[in-house]
Amino acid sequence: MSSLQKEQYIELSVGAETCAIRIEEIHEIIKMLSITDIPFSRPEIKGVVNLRGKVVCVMSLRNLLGMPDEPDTRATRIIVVRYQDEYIGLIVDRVNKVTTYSEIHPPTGGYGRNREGAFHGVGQHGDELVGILKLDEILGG
Amino acid sequence: MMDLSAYRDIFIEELNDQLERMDQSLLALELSPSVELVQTLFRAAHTIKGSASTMDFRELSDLTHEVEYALEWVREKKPEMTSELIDTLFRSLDAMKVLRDQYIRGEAYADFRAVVREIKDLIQTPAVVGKLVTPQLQPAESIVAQVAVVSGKHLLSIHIMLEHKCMMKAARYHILRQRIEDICGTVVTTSLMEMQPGAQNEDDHYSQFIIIVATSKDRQQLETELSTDSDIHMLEIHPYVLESNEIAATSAPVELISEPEHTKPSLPTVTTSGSGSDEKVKAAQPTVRVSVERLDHLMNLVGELLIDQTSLADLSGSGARKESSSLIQSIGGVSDHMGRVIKELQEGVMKTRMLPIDQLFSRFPRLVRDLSQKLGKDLELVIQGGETELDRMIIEELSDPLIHLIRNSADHGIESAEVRGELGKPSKGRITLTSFHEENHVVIRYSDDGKGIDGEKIKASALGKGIISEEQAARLSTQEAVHLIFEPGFSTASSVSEVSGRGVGMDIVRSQIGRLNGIIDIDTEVGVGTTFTIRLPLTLAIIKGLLVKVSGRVLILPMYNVAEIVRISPEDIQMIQGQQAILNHGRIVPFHRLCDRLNYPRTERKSKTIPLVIVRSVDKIAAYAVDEIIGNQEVVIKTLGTYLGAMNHLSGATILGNGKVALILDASYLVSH
Repeated sequence: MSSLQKEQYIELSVGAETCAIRIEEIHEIIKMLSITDIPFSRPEIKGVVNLRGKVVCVMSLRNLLGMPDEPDTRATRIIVVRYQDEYIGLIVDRVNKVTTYSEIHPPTGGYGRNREGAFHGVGQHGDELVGILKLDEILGG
Repeated sequence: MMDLSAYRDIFIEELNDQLERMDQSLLALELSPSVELVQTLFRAAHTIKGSASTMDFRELSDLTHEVEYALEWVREKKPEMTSELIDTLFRSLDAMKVLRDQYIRGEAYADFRAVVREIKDLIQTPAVVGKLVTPQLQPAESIVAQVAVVSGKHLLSIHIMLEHKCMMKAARYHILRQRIEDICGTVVTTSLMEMQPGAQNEDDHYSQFIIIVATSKDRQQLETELSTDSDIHMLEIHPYVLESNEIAATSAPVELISEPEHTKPSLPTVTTSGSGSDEKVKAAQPTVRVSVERLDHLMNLVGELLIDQTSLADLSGSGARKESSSLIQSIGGVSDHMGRVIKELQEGVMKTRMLPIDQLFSRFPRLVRDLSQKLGKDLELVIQGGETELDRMIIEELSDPLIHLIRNSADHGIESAEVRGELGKPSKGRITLTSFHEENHVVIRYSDDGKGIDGEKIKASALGKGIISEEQAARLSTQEAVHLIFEPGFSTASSVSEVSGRGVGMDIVRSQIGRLNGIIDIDTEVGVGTTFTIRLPLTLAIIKGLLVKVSGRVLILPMYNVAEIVRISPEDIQMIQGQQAILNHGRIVPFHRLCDRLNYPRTERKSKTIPLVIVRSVDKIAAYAVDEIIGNQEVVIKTLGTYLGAMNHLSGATILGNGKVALILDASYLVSH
């Protein structure tokens, strides 16, 4: 786990939960755009947006983590990540900060079915504990 | 070794060009022999040989060397252009193509020694065509053989063909026989060519022979030892199996013209390529050849855009000091100019993707020739308008549908020469491929002068196969029935043949043309012929789209598929067999609400009439109610990406002027599902 410790993370919130994504995996963070919904797509796919001329698929991280959708707020952001040579947007309630973790614990069990394997581990920063998201697992599942 | 991977793509492209050229020249040569054509073929072969050996692609350069040698022989000796000669050349060309494909895919190379031998045989056709028979063992010989086997030796049959130019064949034969006896120990028996009566040259008797030996040496060993001997044109060594009830069973005659199965079985048929480097496995990147003139034109346009940009920057700089009305006018002027330049740039860039359709059509004379031979029908292919330009991707995708059409015509459509004679038609069946531009479309007209499609027969056949019901059949007009040939699982051929008749062909034609946003019309007359008219968009990258509003969303339908836009009142919608439909120009057209088809919520209708888009794809038609027709506009198609999964109802998305994404509907899917 030592390799994960020195890396930088973006800390974000969905619902009451705080998660983190490795900064290398993030392409950019944008404000909410107008989303075009796609008929007959999976429920967690919210639609597509125009990212400077590119059509990018946008998903709800809330849905991906088994939470219901909430109306957008001023703090709602789309985190654009790279996944298998494509850009994919993840809607989050809020982006908190860039951070590093002094210690990273292996993922704890008992998250429930939606969460199986969704985390690389748990980062610790002082007393705070933050789940580090495993994008391959979340987007691939 | 020098790194050649950088030249790989160029090499493949050149190879494709040259092979294509050879194919065409060979076809022309078959029709009318000419020295120039042989010279063209020779030059192409020479070029391929040269570049292949530069690329260290020995398998191809070796094979091409033989082809080149054969062509040189044709050029010097000017033999009669027999069909064997042409066929051999075609076969070697095919072999070269196989090697090319294997090279591109990085696969192991197939063994084409049989083809090489065929070429060699062609050049050195022996003066006498005789028969060589595997020797029958006489009782005494059989005992010798059996004793040898018991003592641990094995029997080998050595088949030797001497060089045609070898002077004293008889002497050579005796020397070789002696040598083989020295190497192997025991010669069981030998067999010479059987002479045809009246043969002049006594020596030809010895031009080929089979020697059966008992030896402890293995095949490879023997082969290596003998391969150094001079005057041997061909050497084959097989194990000889002693029949249990010896005094040989029926002896199999060995035809003089060697067949592929005569390849040395001791060697593996596939040899692996020398280097398995990763570059080789990499598929060839598609490249585009653009004339310098076109490129310069594009550069000029980009230059003009830069100037426009500078003037905009100037305007913004001086804007503070100027009056707003004159400023707006200036900006408007620059914007107009930019608009024109961009439009021209767009067309120019699109043109770089265009290829003359000849690229596709030129593949078909060969196909027609092969079909003609295979089916024993006299066929002729007439190509018109090969210079018509079309998006390269469409050209690729069109290949399969057209091949299906040609096969169908050759197999089912065009009658045999005898039948044609009786009908007073020219004995040669004619297939015509014409291409031209019409408005914003490319039209490909494919016609044959065969027996046409009998709608009534089609109907009966579809009924028999359960594709349509009795009552459906009763309602179908003859013309409509013809369209049944596009239904999956439909085939009129009473027997399944090698060429066509698997009952999948026309189905593929429809789906492929549908994918390209094209439409097909069939025009057929029993006894006279059939014409398929295929209409295709010029390009797939930019389309004209009809913008419609449904449930508050803007959707785009490709204009190619929009047959008509009408307004109807709700009373016009009728229920027919549990399905809503409208009457349009006397046709019954299925009616759907686009919002229902796409699972969108229905919106309250304000106006009395319903805007309706009549969509057509390939040969199907349906009407879709929308909330509002916005208008048409050119849209750039963007892919939705693979992450979304299969979205068959959408052919992509585009970005509208307001920056929002609008979905482009796939009309062919919409209409047929």
